[in-house]
Amino acid sequence: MDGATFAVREGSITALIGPNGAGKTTAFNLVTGFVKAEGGTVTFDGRDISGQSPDAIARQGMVRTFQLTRVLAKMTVLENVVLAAPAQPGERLDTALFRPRRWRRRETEARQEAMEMLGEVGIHTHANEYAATLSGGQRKLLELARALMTQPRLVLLDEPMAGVNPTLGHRLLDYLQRLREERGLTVLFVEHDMDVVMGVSEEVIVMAQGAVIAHGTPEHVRTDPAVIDAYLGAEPAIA
Amino acid sequence: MDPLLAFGFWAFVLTFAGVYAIFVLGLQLEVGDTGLINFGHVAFMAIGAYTMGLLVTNDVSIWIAIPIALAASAAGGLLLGIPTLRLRADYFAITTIAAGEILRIAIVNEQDTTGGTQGLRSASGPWRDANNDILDFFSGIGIELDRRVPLLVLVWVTAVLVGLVLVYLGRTPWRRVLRAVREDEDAAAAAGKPVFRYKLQALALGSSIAGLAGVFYTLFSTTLFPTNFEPIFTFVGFAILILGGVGSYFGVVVGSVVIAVIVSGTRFLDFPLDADKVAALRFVVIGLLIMAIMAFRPQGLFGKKEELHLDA
Repeated sequence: MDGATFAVREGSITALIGPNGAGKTTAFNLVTGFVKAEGGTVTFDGRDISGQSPDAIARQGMVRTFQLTRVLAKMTVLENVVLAAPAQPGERLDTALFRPRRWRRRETEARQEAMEMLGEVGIHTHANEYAATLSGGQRKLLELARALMTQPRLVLLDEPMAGVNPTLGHRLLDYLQRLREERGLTVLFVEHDMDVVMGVSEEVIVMAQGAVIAHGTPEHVRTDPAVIDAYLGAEPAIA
Repeated sequence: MDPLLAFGFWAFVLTFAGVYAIFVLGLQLEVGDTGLINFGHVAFMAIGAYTMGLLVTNDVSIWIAIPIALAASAAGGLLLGIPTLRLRADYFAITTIAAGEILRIAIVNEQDTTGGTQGLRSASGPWRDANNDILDFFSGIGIELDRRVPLLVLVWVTAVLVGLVLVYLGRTPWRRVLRAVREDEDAAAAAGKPVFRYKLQALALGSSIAGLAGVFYTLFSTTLFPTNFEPIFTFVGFAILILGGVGSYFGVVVGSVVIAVIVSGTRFLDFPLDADKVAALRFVVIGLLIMAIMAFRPQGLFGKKEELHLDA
């Protein structure tokens, strides 16, 4: 990965596209601290967060999902989401042991929020089942719910729509757009479905071979010769 | 008297089972809850036992020695965890067994302080005095107790208390993070949880529980020998864990009694074999038992069957 400099505007919905092997997931790993970069800097909300641990970055409000879903298999769907609730004092051993009232109150709240979140992504009927029993598409939704539960300011979604049925997919996009209006959520997502990319994103970043080759509005990007070149000379499948 | 009927003998076996129960409760926290495969658990029991032994033989009161022993074991857990808990699970497992052996061999060689292979003598002396006071108290109110009863009761009351604390902790957000770490460290990190710090906490707490088992071991045995703390002790602990069911605290208690009866309770049986062959036979029996459990009830006696097939 070299020469992949890009910026995501606060409050925007930005798509990250590129052919297979372009480095989209690697970019996510580097930005969120899951892979240590050899050089370069990552700035979030005006602060340099290069080299910080993934959990520290997540706590500052930059939260990712994984392309290959990582659900907590032997925990229930609800627990998967409640886990991500911020500001739970009972996650400290001493508070958990000696001050039950403090964390129980937050726990009740968090469970309620988590149920609402599961409702938004449409898997609330599975709340008390083990996460391992979910289908591939449902796992994507669970990951999204878990990421949103952390109350992030920027979410990085790695192929959030893959395996999710289109009706539900559109509901998710509406939900993300609503979160942006209400909470000022910024969204950066990797997606192969060009309809979705062109339909919802305001900005598109195009990567190929570990570098950013184009950045602009969907209209600008779809006519950029470098982009068309990167997709093996063929025009991206734009409807 | 027929040993089958001898109360003292069974008190011995059950006290031993209680020490094992405490030991394996700590192991359950690490292995069952957090997913830390710790093959060196016995080392932290050794730290607790020897700290206790060295303090009381140097005229420190039992009640001061116990918390120091627990703290020493927890510190040992931190010391081992800081460099090793970033390793992948299997490398961590190998490191723990090595660390346990290093400690045991160090105890063998530090003859001047630990007594080496000659053993640390009269470490249970102060307890015997306390025990006599307890017995005197009860005979004062007209109850004649066997001299082994107080420790038997004390060790099981402690085991149950430790178990209850762990059951309580099991319902807290703290343990939810441990389970998330066990299931998937990256997912836990992505949810903002400092994975390493939680693993460290689990190891320190599990180690201090092992240290508590060590404290009772010191009260229980007249002399501490390094050979008491060989890796086999941890592996028998794992056998208890598998038998009772990974994830079940109640299973730990039942498993400890079953295994202790096999290991110690068969001493009265008259086999037409040499003593060392009988000793080996006991482990064969444990091995067969574990194989049978794996074949017919892989979740253990009290584990959750539905969780077995859920590895995503």
